[in-house]
Amino acid sequence: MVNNGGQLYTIEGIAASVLIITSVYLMLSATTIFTPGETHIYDMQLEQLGNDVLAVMDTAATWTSDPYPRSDLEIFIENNNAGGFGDEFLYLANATTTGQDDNLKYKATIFTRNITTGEVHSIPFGGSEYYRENAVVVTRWVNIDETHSLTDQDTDSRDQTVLLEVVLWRA
Amino acid sequence: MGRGPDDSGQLSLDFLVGFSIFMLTLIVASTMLSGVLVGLQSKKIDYDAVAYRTGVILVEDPGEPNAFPNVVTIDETDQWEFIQFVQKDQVLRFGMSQYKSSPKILAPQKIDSFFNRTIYPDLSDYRERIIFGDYPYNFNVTLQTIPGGTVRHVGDPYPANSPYGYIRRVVQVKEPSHSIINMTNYYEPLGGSGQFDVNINFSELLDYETRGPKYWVDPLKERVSFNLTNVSGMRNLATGAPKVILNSVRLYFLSVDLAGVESYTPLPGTLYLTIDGVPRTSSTLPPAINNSISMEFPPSYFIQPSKFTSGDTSAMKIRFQFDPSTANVSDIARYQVEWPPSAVNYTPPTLEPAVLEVRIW
Repeated sequence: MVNNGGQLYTIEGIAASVLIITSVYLMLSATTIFTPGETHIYDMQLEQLGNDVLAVMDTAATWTSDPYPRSDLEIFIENNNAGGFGDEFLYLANATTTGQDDNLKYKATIFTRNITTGEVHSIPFGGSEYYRENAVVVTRWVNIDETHSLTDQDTDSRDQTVLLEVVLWRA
Repeated sequence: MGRGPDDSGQLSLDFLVGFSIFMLTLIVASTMLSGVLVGLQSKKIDYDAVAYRTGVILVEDPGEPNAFPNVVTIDETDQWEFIQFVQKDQVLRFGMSQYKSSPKILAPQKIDSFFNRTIYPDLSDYRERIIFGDYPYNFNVTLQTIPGGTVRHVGDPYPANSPYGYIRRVVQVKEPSHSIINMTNYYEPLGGSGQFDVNINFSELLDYETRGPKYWVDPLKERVSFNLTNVSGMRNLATGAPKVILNSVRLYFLSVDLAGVESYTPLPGTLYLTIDGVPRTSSTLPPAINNSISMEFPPSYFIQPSKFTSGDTSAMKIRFQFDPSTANVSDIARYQVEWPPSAVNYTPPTLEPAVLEVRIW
């Protein structure tokens, strides 16, 4: 006793498989996967390191009550001491536990705003000349007080927060 | 509908064939699909990401368990760094930052516990507390205070010639406070009872208002140590005693009764001290003292005694009872006196820069 009711099931199975194969093929060919390149990881490591170093430099080693503990970073900027800043920055950034120091270079700039003219000035704050190496930028807002010696750079003498920008690259 | 029973067998066989084709295709398709994820498992990227995450856990997290700052009464098991080998299962996560609110400021006691292989003998102890996940990564963590501190490390030796994930963090280690008390300044011309107290006032040390967690001294979690120098400077000149004699030394805790009256009560137990460079206990005091007495209370020492004291006015007192015929003294010194400079030369906690490196492969 033959009827063709049964054949329908087989056709459905084949149809379903063709459908699945086609859709998977389309999916695979249509999807592009973006994997993060090595550069981003490398940048992230340098950025993290630069931020760590600026944070450590901006945290005073001990408490002093005058009226709050002033960090090395604040003192360097207040005294316009680019050399002192560079020495400490590179010392911390290049230190490793293996005894073989890293070879990082930097270029720092301070941004201040003159309250009367409203203009933003950039003051070079030492470092190597930056050409076309792969570099990252780390920044930190630093509080300085009115006794700072950046006045000759058209920065008015008042307590203020300045922006320190450090370009950092591995030489 | 009116079909005979003989049809049903053929139908289900056919259905079986169709269903099998469908299932086979599904299996083939799912096998193909798993290939989609292959591109994401780039090992170098994975290693760097794990190294970064491990670095963050180690230097920006206080670990688990960890009590909130300024909690007055805690147990040793509330702080992972005080948990010993027997109870190590209670440690869920390592993290060397002292508090959540002060990332990148590491606590020396946490560093000591983290690198202590007698508490955590297996590398898997570390893997499940800093790396997590099922994949058995190899790791190497090194820490060194700069300049020139000892390099502390844990983990496998890392491969020199094959790539590994890497992160370097620059942090600060909070070195504990110390006091030097010059006894010459406490010479009492009129004699005195021979009693000399060193007060450790918790609310004064835990200065929440102005200093905050970076610079305060948390006597429950940090080492407290002091040194009495020039002990011979308070020698009783009237009796002509050649050397100062210490009769007893005891630890007292401050208690406040319902009427608000404060009193100090002695605690039982042996105290450890170093006299003229020789380690002693409070029950084996030497016959005479030439120059110095130093005491060190390691982190967690005051956790048990502090349970007797009352909340935010917790205070401890170390009372030295000298023989009054040999010593002219009767005074109280505070552990932490900063300004104006006085007889107590107090060194506040100091934040020393350090480098931490994590390697994963």
